Amino acid sequence: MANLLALIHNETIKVWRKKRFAVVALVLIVLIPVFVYAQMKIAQNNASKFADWRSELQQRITDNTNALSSERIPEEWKRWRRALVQQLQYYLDHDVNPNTPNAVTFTSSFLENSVSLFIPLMVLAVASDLVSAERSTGTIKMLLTRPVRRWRILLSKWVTLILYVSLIVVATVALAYLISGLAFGYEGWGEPVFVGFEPQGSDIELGAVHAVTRGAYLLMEMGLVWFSALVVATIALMVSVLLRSTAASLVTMMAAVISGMILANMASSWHSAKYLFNVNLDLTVYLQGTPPPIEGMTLGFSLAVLGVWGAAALATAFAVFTKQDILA
Amino acid sequence: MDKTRIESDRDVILSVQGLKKNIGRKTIIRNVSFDVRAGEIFGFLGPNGSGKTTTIRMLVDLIKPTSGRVLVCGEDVNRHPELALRYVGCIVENPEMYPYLTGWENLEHFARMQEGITRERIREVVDIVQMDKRIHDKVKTYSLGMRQRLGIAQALLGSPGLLILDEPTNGLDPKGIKELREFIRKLADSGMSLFISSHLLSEIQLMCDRVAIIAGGEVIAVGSVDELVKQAGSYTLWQFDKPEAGLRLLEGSGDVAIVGDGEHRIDEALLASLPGAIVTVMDEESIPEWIERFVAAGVRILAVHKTAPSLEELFLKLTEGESVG
Amino acid sequence: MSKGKSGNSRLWPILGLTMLLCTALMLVGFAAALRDAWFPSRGIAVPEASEPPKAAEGGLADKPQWLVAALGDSLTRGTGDETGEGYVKRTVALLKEASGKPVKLVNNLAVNGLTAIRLSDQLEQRGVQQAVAQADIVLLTIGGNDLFQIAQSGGSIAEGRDVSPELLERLIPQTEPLLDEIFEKLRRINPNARIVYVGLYNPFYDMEQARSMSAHILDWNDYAHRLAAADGNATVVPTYDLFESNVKAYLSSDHFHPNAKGYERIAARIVQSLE
Repeated sequence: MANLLALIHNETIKVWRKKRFAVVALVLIVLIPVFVYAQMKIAQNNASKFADWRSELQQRITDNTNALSSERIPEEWKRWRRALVQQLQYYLDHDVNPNTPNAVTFTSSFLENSVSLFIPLMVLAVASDLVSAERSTGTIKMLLTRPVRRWRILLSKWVTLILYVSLIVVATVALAYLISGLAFGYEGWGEPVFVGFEPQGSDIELGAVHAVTRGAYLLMEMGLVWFSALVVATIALMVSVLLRSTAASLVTMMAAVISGMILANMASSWHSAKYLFNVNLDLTVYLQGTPPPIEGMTLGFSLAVLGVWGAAALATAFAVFTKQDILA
Repeated sequence: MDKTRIESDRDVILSVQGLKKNIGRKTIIRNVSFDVRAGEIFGFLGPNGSGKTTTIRMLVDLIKPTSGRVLVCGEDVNRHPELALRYVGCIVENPEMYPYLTGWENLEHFARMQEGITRERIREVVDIVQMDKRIHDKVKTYSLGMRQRLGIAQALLGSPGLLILDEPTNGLDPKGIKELREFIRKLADSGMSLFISSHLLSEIQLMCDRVAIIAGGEVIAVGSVDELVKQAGSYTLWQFDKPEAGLRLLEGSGDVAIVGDGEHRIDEALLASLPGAIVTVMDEESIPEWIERFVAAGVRILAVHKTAPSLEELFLKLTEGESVG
Repeated sequence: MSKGKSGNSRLWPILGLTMLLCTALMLVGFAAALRDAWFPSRGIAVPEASEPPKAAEGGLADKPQWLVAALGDSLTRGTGDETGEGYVKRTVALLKEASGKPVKLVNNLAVNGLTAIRLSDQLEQRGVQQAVAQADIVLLTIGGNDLFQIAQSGGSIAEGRDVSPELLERLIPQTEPLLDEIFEKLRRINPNARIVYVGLYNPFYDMEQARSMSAHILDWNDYAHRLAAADGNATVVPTYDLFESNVKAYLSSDHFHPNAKGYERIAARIVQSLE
């Protein structure tokens, strides 16, 4: 009976030697500079247009207020904009710049933008073939004829997955910070940022608003992104057990993640969509205080939905993996 | 250490008892039972599609039997794979290893899955299969023969009492097959039991002590290879300068049966090399006596050839026997 | 035995430990996020605000550069201008040309459909005050939405339905004190800026029943003029004559807001008034 650590050791080495993480890192290294460049252009543009960040902020408030008055934009967009205006106004009233161009703010916003699609895709690169690759190459016959119970093998794969998800989130943040720092400078950890905005219907409750440092904000954001990535990874593990083919499980999971993103953008009128896991992936909205995709969603609600989906996926994966016949 | 205890404790190392497997509504395996004893080379003979592969997979817990059980050294493989599989090394179909790892890393990987396998043991098995030169190269650069050897090394890691090899000669050249045969014999001499599947009777005849024959999901015979072959009967082919005279002599005796043209399944190539040969079934021991008789009668013998029945024939005989009695 | 093997044996402890630390960090972050959401602390103190820039004293001619802030309704926003420039951007460009000085727009804080009372409220906002405070020139349009009672969107008008000379006559006295208040607030926020109020015009001049409104609009512009004169550093730019002779040529398709040509003429007037 081999101990679990040895099994995790095996799985970790296999994922690493398959160069899965190298691919993720490479994609990040290629992609981040593109966004840094775009962000730099925006910052330069703003700097040439506005003498002062306050003017820029005030202009954003005014522009969004104007957009609100148009009758042509849909109600959920208005809800979102109204919340944004109130937040920006709060920043202006407290004389805090919400968007200082520095590496920490860039990293934060990069993370916010990648939580619902980019990070899940990176995680799928590792998760989707964790089991199915053993099948397609036939190594599963070696793996399962060793004197180890099957649930231990799957458990070691899941733990390895958790470890890699953590590594991917940290690597994303580290690379975003290091690369954007070249353009924006590495300061900004101690700057204040407001949290605790609570969207209430079409308004924002300001009672619980308080300031935290950018560093603490980034850390909390990472924690939330990590949790949703972990749920995606766990569901991908189950799909990989059920579908047996890497390509099929990758396509299935990508379809789920992408349709979740689309639903989150347009399904506010379909209320029961909020019980789907893929609509709940962007946990950072609760930290940012922007209205959730569907009214009535809260941090606790989303965590519960994701938790239930993750637990069910894990249970299914274990039930199937420990019983299934390896026929081919 | 474990191995000696078990060998002295009980003679039977692998016991298969009433295996049955349904997949969907189809019954793939009806009733498979046999025992493999310590230190023997046990053949598992059956044509493709006979349920051979499914049975082997049930032996190593890759497929769960619908009913029946598999005991290795007294441990149920299905209920306690973590105990039973300690005594088993196996290669099911092709020896597939992780191509992106080196041979050594593959061995390390599988060594970690079982307690008590030291670095020295890994080195030992590498020496046994003579892979020390290429062991630190990635497996994707290996030839099929090397993969086979690495697979065997992996199977030997845990010093198993039982080694299961599924069609081990598949894809090997004649030299490789000969080497493998010698290697298997060496392992058996060291006290290990071997379970070897094949669809070629000749191969089983060359390698195995005992054999189980499977057809249509059922074991139709278990026994020593010689016994079974004898049971099926072998043919003696006679070629004379004057076939009519020889035939007359043979027909005159009560204990020789002449086999007509359409009644046997002897290899065409063999028959072509012995034109006009008379096919008989007779007692082996009486052959020298018969030769003397022909010589005395002035019938000159061009060739005498003894041939084993083909697998097909063996099956025919075995199933006939079953239906008769 | 070989380098490959020793490389491998180092990989696991390093990789394993790194990933363990990453996971621990993620757990801390996750816990912190939950704690902050469910048991919020009082948060860190926000650092002292830095002083926002203020406009320099002195006359326009003496300043090395001019900062412009624009306030008001859809006219200042530039609604109806198919190029999207409006009179504000055109004014800035023309001023740059005419004066030879760098002229920069601080903010265009106009909101479609803004009424005088809402502008007065807006002037209490910190961001708006800061924008006005640093400006050397404040461009302003207001009153149109109060007097013409146009739909808040500022885009559509039900042809002449809720515009009538009688209504206008009733509304002007109610709105005049608000204009007073706005001038007063602007001056309090920025004692030095030149305030440029762009006067109202009669967009319905071509309609028989609405032509008499022009007299009331002139009354309003007169009132604004008197306020400007009292202030001493303010200008009222008349526009009513620009849209009388050929209404169609200078108004946009909504028959209320100027089109690009109309805005161009307004900008030219403003620049003239500042020369």
